[in-house]
Amino acid sequence: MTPLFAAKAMFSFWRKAANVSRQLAGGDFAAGRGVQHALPASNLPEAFPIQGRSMSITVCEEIILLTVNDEGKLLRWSEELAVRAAVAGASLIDLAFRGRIDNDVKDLFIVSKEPTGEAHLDMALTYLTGKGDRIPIQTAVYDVMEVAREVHAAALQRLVDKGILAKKDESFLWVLKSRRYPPLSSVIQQEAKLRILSVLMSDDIPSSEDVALISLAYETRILELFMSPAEIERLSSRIQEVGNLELIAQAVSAVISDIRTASPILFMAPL
Amino acid sequence: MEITHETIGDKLVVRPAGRIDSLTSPAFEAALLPLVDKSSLVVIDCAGLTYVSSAGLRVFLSAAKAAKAKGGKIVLCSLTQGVQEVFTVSGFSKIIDMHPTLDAALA
Repeated sequence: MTPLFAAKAMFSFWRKAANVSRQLAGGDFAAGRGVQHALPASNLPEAFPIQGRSMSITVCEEIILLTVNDEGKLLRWSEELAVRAAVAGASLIDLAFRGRIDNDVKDLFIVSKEPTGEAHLDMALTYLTGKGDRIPIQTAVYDVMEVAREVHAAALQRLVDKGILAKKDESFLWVLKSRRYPPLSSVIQQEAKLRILSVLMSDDIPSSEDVALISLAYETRILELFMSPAEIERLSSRIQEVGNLELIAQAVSAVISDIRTASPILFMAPL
Repeated sequence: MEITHETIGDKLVVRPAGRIDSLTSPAFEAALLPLVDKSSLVVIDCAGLTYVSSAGLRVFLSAAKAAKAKGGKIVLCSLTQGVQEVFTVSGFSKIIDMHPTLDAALA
């Protein structure tokens, strides 16, 4: 991937981000909706088996949860190409877990266009299928990054629908408006962090889901939100050993590296 | 994809053949995991494997995790060049022992 291509891709993201921002300005908040009541936790869907595993939350939802702080504030999107890359990578891995795509060291293949039933993943799948049946992995990451903002919004809504986050719109002096997603329970968020730390501090063989979470959180610097630089440095060998196990995350890393090369100033650390 | 297996001494040798990808990995996983449960050392002879995708790698990861959880391990041997590349690039060669030949794996 050349720096020129990366710069072109970034321009495409900014243009799309501007469009989505305009849509949001006339969306939920402008319609005067306040707090959207989340479903009670008892409405959480039953865990369902996926390729022999059990899962009730997607990697994409889990990685987004890691970017929500205790007050429900999200990473500032304007600075967060990292989140965009994380959402794209996580969506692709979720689609792979659900048998919709597969990949080898170079290319990604569309295996099935059948919807997954998860709105955010189907958004990514639909966009991806329009690009062909066989796509270089890095190109696929760039492609999904183009719709990452919409995928991110849909995944957040899923977390609200599942009763994991609340959605709260607030005004300040009747002019400035902000939206927060305060966690209704920190259990799932804490569980994800503990799983990450547990894998990193042991020599256990991680599950595919843990590999996905750790690799994406590391490559996109989301780990820095709950691990100190000293901890990350101390565990860097193990982090890289685990993170390398997911080829899609390797592609995310390469894309991030391209973007950093093309525009190092714009690629800021989370928070 | 086909899978055969035999017991050599106290070791179980599993021989998958063909491609392990998103289409065949569920069957591979369904066949491999019960075998991993039966023996503390499972040697997967990859001489007949022509292709392994990410879906296939996840099955190897799952099997290695299951084996380790019960105090056992899986080892691979006789990987073809293309399959070896996938395991090397993905870093799986750092968490699963690999041997050039079946004899070396059984030694």
